[in-house]
Amino acid sequence: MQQEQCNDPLGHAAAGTRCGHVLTKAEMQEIHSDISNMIQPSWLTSVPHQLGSSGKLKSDQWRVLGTTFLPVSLIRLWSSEDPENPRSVRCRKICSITMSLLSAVSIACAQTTSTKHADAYLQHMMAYLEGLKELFPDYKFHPNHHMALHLHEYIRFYGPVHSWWTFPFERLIGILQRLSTNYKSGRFELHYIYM
Amino acid sequence: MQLLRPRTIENRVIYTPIKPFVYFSPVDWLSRLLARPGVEAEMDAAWSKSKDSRADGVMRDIFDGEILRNFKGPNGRHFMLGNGEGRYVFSLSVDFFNPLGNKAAGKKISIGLISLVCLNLPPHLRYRSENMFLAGVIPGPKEPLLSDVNNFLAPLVDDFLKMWDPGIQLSRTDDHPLGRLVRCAIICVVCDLPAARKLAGFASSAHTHFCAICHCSLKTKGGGKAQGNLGEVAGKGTGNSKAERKARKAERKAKAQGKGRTSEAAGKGLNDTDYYSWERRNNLDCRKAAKHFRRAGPSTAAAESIVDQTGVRWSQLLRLPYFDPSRFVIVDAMHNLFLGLIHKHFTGILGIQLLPDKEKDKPVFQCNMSKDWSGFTQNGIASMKKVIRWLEHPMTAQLSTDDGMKLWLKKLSNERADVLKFICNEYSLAPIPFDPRKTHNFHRADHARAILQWVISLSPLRTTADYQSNL
Repeated sequence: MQQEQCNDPLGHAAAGTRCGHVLTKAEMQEIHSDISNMIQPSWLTSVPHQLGSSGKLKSDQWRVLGTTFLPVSLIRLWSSEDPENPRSVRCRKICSITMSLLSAVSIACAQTTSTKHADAYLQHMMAYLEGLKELFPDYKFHPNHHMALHLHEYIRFYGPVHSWWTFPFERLIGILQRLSTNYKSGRFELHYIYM
Repeated sequence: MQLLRPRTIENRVIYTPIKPFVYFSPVDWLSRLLARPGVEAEMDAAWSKSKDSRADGVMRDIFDGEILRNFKGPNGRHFMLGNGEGRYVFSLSVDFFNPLGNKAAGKKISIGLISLVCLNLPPHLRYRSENMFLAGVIPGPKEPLLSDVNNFLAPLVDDFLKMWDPGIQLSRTDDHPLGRLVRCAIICVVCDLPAARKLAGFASSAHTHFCAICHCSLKTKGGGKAQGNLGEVAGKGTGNSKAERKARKAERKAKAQGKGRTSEAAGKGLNDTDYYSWERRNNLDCRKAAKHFRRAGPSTAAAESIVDQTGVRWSQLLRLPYFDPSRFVIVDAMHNLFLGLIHKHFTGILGIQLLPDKEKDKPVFQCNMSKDWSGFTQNGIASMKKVIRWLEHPMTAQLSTDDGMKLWLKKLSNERADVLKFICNEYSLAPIPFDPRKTHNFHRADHARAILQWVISLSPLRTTADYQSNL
């Protein structure tokens, strides 16, 4: 027990909010029920109702989850703080850094943008990363976290992300992947290009 | 190097290329595009449209961004001022994918797609599959390593050099029946992180210099890590004195370049978020390092030392005079934000998948044997380790049911008798035979039963773990 306290100065274990294991089974069930009960426009990319247990999600599904479903559920579950309960205090903080991340993403993906948008993006992204460092000091950052801060400059350089993200190119790959081939390696390539 | 391999067709041996790479010229594609009615007018209008929309400071398209607002043509004036010439900009994408689908059990091969999009087309037409230009497919089954991708880019860059200066003369387009001079430029490279690094000639994101945009690096304040690497690389070159000398020269050069930087950018690892203090790379820096890399020759120690020092290799794209490797290689928002941050945040931190918590399986108590058991045979030691692992892990919850009890009894009874006896002696447990009248000749199951009874009696010790596993 002593050793645990040394590794865990913020009391993650006591509050049940260790990195990678914050959500409980009950909370996941709430999220599932939120997803299936929410009335959604038909053009919205659908996300699996049994979130988490159903395979890999597509990039667009993460976008929809992050910008529509999860903020609603997380705010409902975690935003009210009970000072008596350490878990609730921590969850409140985790909720707020999650919102920083999601605000940054929403700003970055806006149809129109401006220098002000770019600055707001940077502010939210920095708040998220600093919050992450504070709440989960053991968490190892990925190069993506670093690059996300650089994204700020590219919004100014190139304007709205829709003209320079890889979605259309990935779609092209999807089209090619669905073509039927004769599975002769070394021959797909020619097949694809002549289509 | 062997480029052809023999094949027998109808009893005759012919030589066929090992890796055929088909490449289409963007010149042909562009002339076809410009021959389509109405397209040319729309493409020319892209420049003036952005000029009107920009007034309120809102950016609506890529033309409103800083890069294209300040993009100079070959004559030093803004690229859009073409005096009647066609001025078109493109984005280049190279992406590697598995044509067999991404099944976990499937064969893993990777081929690359080189495609271009003409940004002058209005946004709603730009990404239609008939308007995207597939320049070539990089053959598999494996991605080209490091800067080898350059070989596949060479023909494309040749064409784009021509299309920049002097430009290409099309004999007839939709709006210009008497022909028109057209100049084109690649103004951004749209790829995911690994492909972008390869394409623009930067080291991978796992390198000491993990960032292609700034000088942040993983090395410690004294520059310890990078120095160590350099020493190794230089040491490798002992067989070839010329290469060694070159490496040392390059090292000195790189040091001279990086002098001011090591003190500031050192130690700014992945966890650093002080964005304003990061020192940005610039075009000149990158090109200088790439030039040194190229001069050192392919796969020499000198070239490697330059990569270690600067994180820059050479890319064909650098042959384009207007190409700025520090600004034209974009950070892809889709991979970075959706698949990178959101995905990592919800699975890696919040734990949306409710994966079993490994920490929960930490030993519930320490099973330290007082006597030495290294005298067992090899199989005995393996068996002993296994049993200790079992005992240390929470199993009381399972033992409370009859089925669980049977399962564990079977598991334990299958282990070696000497191991089970040893554990019983250690914790002074009396074997519990099936027939209570039995007093000697105990079986393995009898010892196992004793051990399990003892585990159940320890249950208060194990409740914390059980509580968590029931959550």
